Amino acid sequence: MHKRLVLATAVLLLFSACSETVETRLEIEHPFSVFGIINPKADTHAVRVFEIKNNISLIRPEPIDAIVKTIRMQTGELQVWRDSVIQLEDGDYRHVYWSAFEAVAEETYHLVVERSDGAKTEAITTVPPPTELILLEPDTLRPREALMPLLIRGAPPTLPRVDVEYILVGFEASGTDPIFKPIVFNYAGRAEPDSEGFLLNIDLREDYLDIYRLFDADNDVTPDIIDLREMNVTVHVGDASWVSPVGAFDEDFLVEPGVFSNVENGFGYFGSGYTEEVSFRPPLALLRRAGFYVGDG
Amino acid sequence: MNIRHVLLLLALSAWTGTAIGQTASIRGFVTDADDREALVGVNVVLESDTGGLRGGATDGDGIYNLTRIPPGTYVLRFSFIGYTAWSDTLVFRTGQRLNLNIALQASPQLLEEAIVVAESETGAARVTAGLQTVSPKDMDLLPTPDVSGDLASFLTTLPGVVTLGDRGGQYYIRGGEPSHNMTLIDGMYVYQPYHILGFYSAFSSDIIHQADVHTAGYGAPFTGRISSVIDIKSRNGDKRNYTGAASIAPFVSSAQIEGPLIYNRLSFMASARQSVVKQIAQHYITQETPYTFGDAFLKVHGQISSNSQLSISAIYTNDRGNIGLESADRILEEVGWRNAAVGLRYVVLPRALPFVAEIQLSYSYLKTDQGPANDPVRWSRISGFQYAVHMNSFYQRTQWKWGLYWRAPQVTAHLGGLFQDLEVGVSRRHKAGIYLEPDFYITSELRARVTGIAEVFPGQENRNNFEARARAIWQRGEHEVSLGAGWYHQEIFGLNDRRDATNIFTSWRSAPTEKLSRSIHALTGYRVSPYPWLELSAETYYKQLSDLFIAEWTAYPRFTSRLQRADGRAMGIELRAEVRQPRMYGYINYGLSSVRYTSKQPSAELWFGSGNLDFRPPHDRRHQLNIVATTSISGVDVSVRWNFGSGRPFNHVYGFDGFVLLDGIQDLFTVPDDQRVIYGQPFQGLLPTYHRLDVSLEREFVLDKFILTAQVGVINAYNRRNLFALDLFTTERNYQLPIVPVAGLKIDFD
Repeated sequence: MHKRLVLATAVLLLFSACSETVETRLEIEHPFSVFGIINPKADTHAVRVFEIKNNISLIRPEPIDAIVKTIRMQTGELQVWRDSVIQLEDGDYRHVYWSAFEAVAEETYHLVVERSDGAKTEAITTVPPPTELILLEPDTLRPREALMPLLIRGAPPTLPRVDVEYILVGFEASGTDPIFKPIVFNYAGRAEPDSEGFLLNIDLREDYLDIYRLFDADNDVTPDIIDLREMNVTVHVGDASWVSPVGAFDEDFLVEPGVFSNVENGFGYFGSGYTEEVSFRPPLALLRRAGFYVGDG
Repeated sequence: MNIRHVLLLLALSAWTGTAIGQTASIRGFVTDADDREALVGVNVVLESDTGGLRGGATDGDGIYNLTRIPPGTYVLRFSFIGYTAWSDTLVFRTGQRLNLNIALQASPQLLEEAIVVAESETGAARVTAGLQTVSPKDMDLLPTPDVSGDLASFLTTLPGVVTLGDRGGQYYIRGGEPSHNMTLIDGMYVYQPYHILGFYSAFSSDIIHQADVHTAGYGAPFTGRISSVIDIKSRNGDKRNYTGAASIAPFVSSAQIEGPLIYNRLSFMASARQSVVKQIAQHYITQETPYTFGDAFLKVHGQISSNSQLSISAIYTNDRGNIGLESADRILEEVGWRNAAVGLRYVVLPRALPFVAEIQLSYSYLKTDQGPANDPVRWSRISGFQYAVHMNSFYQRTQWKWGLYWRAPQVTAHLGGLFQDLEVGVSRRHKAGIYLEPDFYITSELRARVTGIAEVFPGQENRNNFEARARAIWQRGEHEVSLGAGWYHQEIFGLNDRRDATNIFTSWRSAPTEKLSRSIHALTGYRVSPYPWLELSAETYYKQLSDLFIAEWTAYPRFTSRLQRADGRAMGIELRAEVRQPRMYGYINYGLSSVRYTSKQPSAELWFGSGNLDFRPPHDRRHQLNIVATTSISGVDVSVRWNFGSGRPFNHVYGFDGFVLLDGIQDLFTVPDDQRVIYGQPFQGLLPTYHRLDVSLEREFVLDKFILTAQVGVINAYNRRNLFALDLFTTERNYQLPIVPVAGLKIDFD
């Protein structure tokens, strides 16, 4: 009996002494994730830098172990970027590095984010050439269509985003207060190559039908008349790499690490680009054809 | 199911009745003479004066039913171990239908034998075609932190049941997920009956008469779940004497009372338990145990007439607590759930018809919620009525079961963007069904059961559903071989984010695509009793699972889980050995299983290189071993249990960063971003093995008017640091209970 007790105690001690380690993390050499843009139309450029960390704890405002610099490849000109800390609405902090210099179109910039142990995350971008937005005369011979043509003149490498904004006012015949409503449509991918650049046909008729539905859905009213006061078109011109691998810039796809990335030894995207804008009100005949209210004019 | 099928069924029923009209029949209820509780498994034998024998056994309601008896003189015998046998000589005339209710008297001299055989009627190795019948005694044998046993503790000893740990109330049965299990008590659905602390469910051994655990291959009338069924029958309550009990232990306290409302005819039983974890156990456990739970059960049972019984049951449960770890990036949120169900059950042996008929009507309700303490921001609710009629009759060598049912659950979810970005959703999944299930007694050694089920879903996308199931059992001497197979479906799901084991919030939903989840089961089993004291069994199973819905693999951490479709399969083998000796009882069981899920996720292709994810889900515990031993030393019942489980899969991560959606020229000083987890391939890591030893000592003291039961014991006797979950976001570890000494007292009074 005594021996059995000793044996049982020994077995229990053996079991209690057993402890197995478990490694929760896989090794990864990438030190940083970076998201930044060089904008030739801006005097200051910025890149948001994330350390790749062991846990998801809050980002602190204290400086991070990173030196950020860019080299203009054609000239060897070096810019060392400065850290700044921003605070988001939820109280969390972010490190945004910035540098004030004039970026030159069609020049290539090499970004290096370096940790003190020498680990580097790098990316290269070539600044796109300038473009110009030119409104063309609509084709009045096609009465069943209401297309407003816009020429993007130049050689933009990519157009990742084109926003078409309608500034609208809706009225009800019963005389309620007018509803002011801006509505933005995404025309990314709809500009067609043209001999002078890209041609964008804004389909006012199609957009009017969507606007009508949106008024109903958002305001729970169906206006009797919708007056288009102004249109603003913003074209985002990007560098040659600014292309989503899944076509659209779908957040649920692009959030996967390494997707839509031009960064070496890290994650994220470092690109260059700028926006061009134009504001106008389409001709009355086109507005009428689309369905918008044009009054007696 | 069209009108022709219904007419065919009715014609068959009429023909069966006509054929039996040429002979005699006898049926009735068999009860315990002391408390009028139904006796299950009583041997009923009818011996003719020419020596011919026919017989059967009582069912879960204590009903026996002998038909096709040629006119003549017979000796009718009822025998049940632990009870004095009853016999009488009866003369049957043509067309006679006798109703004879029998009350058997317990025999103290046979008590010891009764205990041994009662275990053999149920028992740890007694598994046939996926069915294991569990008695309250089986539950009481286990060392638990309460004087009374509980179904939840017993389930964890089954080799095919995986839990994530000692908390959470999540049971994975032979590869299925918790919401793939159906749990019924007295025919009522209880959607989440398992308490947040893993030793307990809403079903203490004090209220259970018998529980059938179907881990695969079950027949009708169980439809609407693709993995398992736990079908519980509660006790009816004592119809002659008032009895009661009260207990106190470190985790729960309980009280129970039962007795006659009308002597010998109408009884009631009321039971309630409430957790006292915070009041008692928390004072000496080093680990935080922020759990509150409780349950209540009420039943009124009446012998309406000599040939009918009516019962009304009601159950209520509540759970609240949090099982995660607090961290800087998140407020620890509470999870809670409440079940309520009420049901009516009427069993009648019609004098004019050769059927046993059961009519059920019940209403079940569940609400689950999650959010900061006292402010649940997400919730889901499922509620609805169920109606069913089940018929049971014998014709020659065939037992015919058939029935009709209508289920009308409504699911409402308020999820605040969780699961497929859903804010608010309401869905109704009404269905009506009919089944036919003949059980053919082909020879004295071989019987086979086939099941056909037809269902309609009025006004819904998937308008009808047909299923077939089959089972065969061959028995010769000490050998038994069983086979089972079947098609199953499920239209309502409980959704969890399985990437985070500490998140046990379950949102009940209809399938997002209106598709039904389906499974196909196949199983084979062999059981043998080489010696009267030893029983061995082996069972293999395979489940093909399709159209499951799991949390989408995404780099967004927490609370942004979208759903994706997945298929899967589960397979395994379970080995059991049970030893029954008058002074020692014990069993060993081992389960080897493998579960795999496959899903297609286009976004995964961009990160992992393949959009086809093929992985072991987190409940794929490959090996599981349980050893239970009980004995009695100097009047003290000693019970020991050792449980071992191999490590479960978990997610590896590379690290954490942020993500900015650059879908155009942005101002990096103001643009919002998201934190991101850089996952490895799904569930490629393996948590450490799990093992634990529990011991309890229990002794009864018979006092003047009371029986006092004292229990002392220890949970996790050698203080193994078993990991419950890893918080991958903080790398914090959440451990299961450390060594916990327990002591409890229970007083039973008559």
